[in-house]
Amino acid sequence: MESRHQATEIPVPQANPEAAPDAPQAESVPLIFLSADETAGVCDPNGECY
Amino acid sequence: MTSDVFDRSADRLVVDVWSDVMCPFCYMGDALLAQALERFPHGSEVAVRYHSFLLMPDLPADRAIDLVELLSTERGFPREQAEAMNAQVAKRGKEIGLDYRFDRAVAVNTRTAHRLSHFAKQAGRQHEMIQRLFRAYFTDGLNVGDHATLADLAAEVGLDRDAALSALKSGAFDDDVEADLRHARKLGISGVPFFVFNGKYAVSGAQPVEAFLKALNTSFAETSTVH
Repeated sequence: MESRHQATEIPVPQANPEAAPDAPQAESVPLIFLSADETAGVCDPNGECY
Repeated sequence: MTSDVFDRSADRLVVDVWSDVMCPFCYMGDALLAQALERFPHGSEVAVRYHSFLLMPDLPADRAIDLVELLSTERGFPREQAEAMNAQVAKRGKEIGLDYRFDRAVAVNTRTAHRLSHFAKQAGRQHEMIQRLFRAYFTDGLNVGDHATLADLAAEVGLDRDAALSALKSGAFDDDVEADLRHARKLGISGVPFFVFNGKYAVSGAQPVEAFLKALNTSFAETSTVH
C-alpha cells in the first residue's frame, strides 16, 4: 500500500513522557502526516463524517 | 494484552489520541489502533493517552435527539443519505468486530461523557471507560449525557458509582476537557480521530491497521536511535 508523508508547520506537542505524563509540552515541531488510505474516515466539528 | 498500554505512564513511545464519544470513526480508530498494538512487538513500551474533542458542542446536554433525525433535519442530510452513510460505517465496523446500531443512537452533548473519561483516568481506567462509552452510544443506544446512565457505566468498568455521580453533578473535570480542546486547537486538529505519535507523526482518521503499525514502527525506531 502506497503511503505519503506530508510535512506541515502546525505546532505540535513534543512528548516528554517523564516530565509530563498527562500533557505533552508544546513546541513548534513540523507534524508529519502518515496517510496510507484516502478512504479512511474522519468526522469534523460540524458533525459530518466522510 | 493491549489494554495494558492504555492509561499508564509512558515509557518510550506516547500516542496521544483526540476523539469524541459520538464519532463513529473514533470508535473504529480506537479498535484499529488496538489491533495494531497487538501486532506491534514493542507494545509494552507504548502508552496511549486519550484527549477530548467535541464534534457537536452546540447540542443540548439535557435532551437526547435521534441521530438519524438530527442528521436529516438539522444537518441537511436527506434521511436516505444519512441512513446509507450509517450503513456503510456499520458494514466497515462489523469487519473489525464493532456493532453499530445507528437506528438506536441518540445524539447529545458529549462534554459530560468526556468529564467522566477524565474521572476514569484518575483511576487508570480511561480507556475502558471510553470503550464502554463508545459501545453505550453506538450499540446500546444509551443517553451518554445522562448522569445516572454515565454513573452506571462507570460502575461497569469498576469505578465507584457514587463518586462518579458526584463528580458529574459537581461539574468536575471540565477544566480537563477544556485543556484538551485548547490543545486540539493549538494543533490545528480539524477532525477526529486524530493520533499523534511521540509528538511528531500524525495519523488522521480511522486508518487501516497497517498505517498505525507504520506510525508505531517509525516513531519507535527514532526513539530507539535517541536512547
